[in-house]
Amino acid sequence: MNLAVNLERSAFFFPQRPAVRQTGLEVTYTQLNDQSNRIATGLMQIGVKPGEPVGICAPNSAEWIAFYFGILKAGAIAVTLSSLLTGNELANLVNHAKLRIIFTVDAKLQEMELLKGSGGLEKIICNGGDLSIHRLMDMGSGSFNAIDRDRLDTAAVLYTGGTTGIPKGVMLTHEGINFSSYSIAYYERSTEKDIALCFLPFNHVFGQIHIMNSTIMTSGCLEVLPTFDMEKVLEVLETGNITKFFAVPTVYIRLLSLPDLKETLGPLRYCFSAAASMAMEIVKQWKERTGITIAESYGMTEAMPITFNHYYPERHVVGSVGQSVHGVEVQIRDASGNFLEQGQEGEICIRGPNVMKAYLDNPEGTSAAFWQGGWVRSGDIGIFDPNGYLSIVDRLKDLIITGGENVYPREVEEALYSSPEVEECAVIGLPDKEWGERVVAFIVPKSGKTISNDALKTFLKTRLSSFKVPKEYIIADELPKSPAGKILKREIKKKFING
Amino acid sequence: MNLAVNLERSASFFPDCPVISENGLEMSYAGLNEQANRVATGLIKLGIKPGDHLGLCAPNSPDWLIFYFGVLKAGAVAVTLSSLLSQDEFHLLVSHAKLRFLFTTESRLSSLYDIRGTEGIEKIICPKGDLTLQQISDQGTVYFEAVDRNRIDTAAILYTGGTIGMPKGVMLTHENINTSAHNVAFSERSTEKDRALCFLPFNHVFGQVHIMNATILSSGCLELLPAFDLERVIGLIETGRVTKLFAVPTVYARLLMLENLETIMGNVRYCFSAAASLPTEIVRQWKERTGINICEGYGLTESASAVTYNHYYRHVVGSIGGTVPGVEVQIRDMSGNRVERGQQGEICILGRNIMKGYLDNPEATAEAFWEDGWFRSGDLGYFSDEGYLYIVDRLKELIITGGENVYPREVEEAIYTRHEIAECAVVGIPDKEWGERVVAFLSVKPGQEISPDTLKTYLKSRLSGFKVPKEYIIVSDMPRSPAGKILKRELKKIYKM
Repeated sequence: MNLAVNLERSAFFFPQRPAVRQTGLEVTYTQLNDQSNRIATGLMQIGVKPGEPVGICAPNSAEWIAFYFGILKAGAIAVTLSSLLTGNELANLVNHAKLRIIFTVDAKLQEMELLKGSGGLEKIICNGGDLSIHRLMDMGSGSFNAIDRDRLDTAAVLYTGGTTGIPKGVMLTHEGINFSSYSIAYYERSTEKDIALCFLPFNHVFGQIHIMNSTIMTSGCLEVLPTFDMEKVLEVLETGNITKFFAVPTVYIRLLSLPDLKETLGPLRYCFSAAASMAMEIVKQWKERTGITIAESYGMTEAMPITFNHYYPERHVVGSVGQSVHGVEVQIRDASGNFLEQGQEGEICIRGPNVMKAYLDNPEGTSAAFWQGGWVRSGDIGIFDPNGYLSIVDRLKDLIITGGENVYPREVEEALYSSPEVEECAVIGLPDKEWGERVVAFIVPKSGKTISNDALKTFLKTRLSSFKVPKEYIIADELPKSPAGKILKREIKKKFING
Repeated sequence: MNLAVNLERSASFFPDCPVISENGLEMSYAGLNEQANRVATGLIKLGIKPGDHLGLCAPNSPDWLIFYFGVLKAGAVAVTLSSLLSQDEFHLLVSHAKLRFLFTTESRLSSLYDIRGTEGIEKIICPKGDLTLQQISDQGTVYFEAVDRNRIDTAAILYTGGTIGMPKGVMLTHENINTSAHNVAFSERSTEKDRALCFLPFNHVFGQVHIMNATILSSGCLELLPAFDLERVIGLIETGRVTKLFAVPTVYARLLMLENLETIMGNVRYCFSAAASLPTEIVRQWKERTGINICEGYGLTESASAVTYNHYYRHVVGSIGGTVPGVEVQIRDMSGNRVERGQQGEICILGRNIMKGYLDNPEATAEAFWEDGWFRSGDLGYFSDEGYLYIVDRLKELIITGGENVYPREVEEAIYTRHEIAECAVVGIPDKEWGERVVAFLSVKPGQEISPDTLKTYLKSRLSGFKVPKEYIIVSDMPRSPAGKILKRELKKIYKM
């Protein structure tokens, strides 16, 4: 089983249909398949063997996809890194994944060159690098079939979590990604006629699997935007015949302000909200104005999708993340791993073909992530209603998703604590029109110290990738705490949002 | 994971939509779910425990479905037997499956009373039996949720193969059937608006998994006929009550004989053929006349149906298609080594749809799998460059005549190109001189005739001499399995007489 067979199959079914569109550029399935074949055989010529990790660290593009499938076709493992990573974070992951070859963009070349001495990095593939992707393709051959892999072999590694401790590289298998893509295609009733708008980064599980792999499997077309840009999104919606739209709640709010919404959306048939659950009012208004229900699902890098809030409009339960997807089991367990009855709150645990194999070279992280019998622990607290609809009560991991990137508050808080002025702090995500969520820091200064936002920001920028650096700093006398002394982020959010 | 959750989901999405329609009478999803809950709780009251074997031996009916999902919801195992079994076969399987309860028809009662003492059946459920379905349901309650089972617990047992030697009871798990039902619903783009014609028996993998379970998973409706009846099939299609047509090749061949086929198709959007290889000529004519491709799948009881699918995206005539998502196929030689793409060998399968094993038959189970877990289909095939699978023939149907291999399918394909032929089947008959000799059984379309000599001359122009049948036997009708497959072993018996 090789995940890239989905691309081969689509190229066989619909050779002339567009697989990827990107401002003015259109790549057909035949072309994409041919390019990946050339990349695969080119990589093999420069010594890439099945099972070898090969890196991708670049913004979304048609080349990103061709390179990804090239790696897979060669039987190698695609290690997909956020193009926003810099400095130590990038170095840590490149070294941790033992990357010998990486595909990147010229803008990152200088930084990549620095990694060559320290780790095992040998070849940087980009226009100004050791080898351009075009030269690599010229070395290869257009006719090739993906190398067969065991279903349990790793297809891709996606990093999650912060830089504290050993990195968590989620190993997803060919079977796992294939299953996820297929599940989503089923729920979204995807066909070859669909055009999916994708401005979420391909290094992230959502962009890579939910949008990209699932579209390729069903022979649809990906309209790619390198980053989120409201004006571009509107432009593409108006002119691009988009049928499937994936966005965070705030984008929907923004679109609702358009007077001629329905006309703007054209043939759009499917909407999906990618982050925290939607406010009932928005789903209702959207449905009234466009006739489309906004579907939701719950998933994480380690297992996705887990639940799906069904598109049967009348059965969409607002505030819930839906029912478990076919073939995936979900249990609510207590802190000791005991199964809890329906109606009780506990940790959401998952078992199924879509669950990760392990964290790369991190046996401790892996064993902490699983209960016996292959049940992965989400770290989220949830509850089932009598109809099997799951609601998320609390995210133990406090994950913030900003512009499609994951930010772990703990990592940002640790950086803040290393500043001499900070007594106490809490980092949370607040709804943001542009970014989905924006990173906000609440800070209690040490007595007698004053805090300059600008100085703090500059300080953090030397320590964190810029997307992790809080956009706002709010000084407080104290932070709300539980009787046990734990900072209550839910309270901060409530207070802040309700004024 | 419990397969019956698919019913519960559909009942919560579409409580008032019909799940089954028979003779104009409809039962809603809420109705079926409630009835199944009553039966499940009734069975539990009667002492049924998760993992117990409960049999079903009856023709398709709404009651069959109620009992099936009742059994599953209680966490028990549904052993689905053909209602057409001879008395001896029936006794053999009932005893092999160690059934606690059996849901059946009145006609089986007297024979069951003869054996119940020795076979340990506690309760026979049928009118005039120990209990009626109604009496079980009266003891139960409307509200119930399916008992949770492990994904690798057996959900159903389907018997396959002949009656020679130990019976082969294929143990399909909750995950097996769920995987296949999901695959079929995905491939066929099934929705809650579909109405699937079902005249194929629920005890068979095709009726039970491909049609019934896939339809219930996607909240569609089953248009039920107790058996194939050309007039009634045409009637249902004409009224527009059918969107999906499932049949075996011979049924398509018979429908093609209708002069007004083009005008009676109603709302049919999808056609599927399984259970036997579909002659190229039939696909071509059907497409020409109705505009619809006949999709094909390849599957076995042991694979809970779907292994490959010949896609409507690109139907490759003569092939059985590409593998369905999540299922892998390898072509292997007789030592279990993989052969190169393009070469012939045994079709071997790996996936979450592959059975757990044969019930109480460790020898057959061991023979069915290679050590690395790949299931051996017993079918001979090869892959094209595009990854499409072609079946050459059943390994065991291979005819060896004068040291040459003859694949009956190839000869049948050649015979079908003659317009006079309604149906044909080619078998090998023991022969002193040749080891086996090739013999063709034929039925001719009404008003047509063809002489053996004409046919022989015609075939000689298309096939190597050793493949051309030595004998031609005209029959009025072919012996058939309940699923409509031509029974070659019966033909061989006819020959002996």
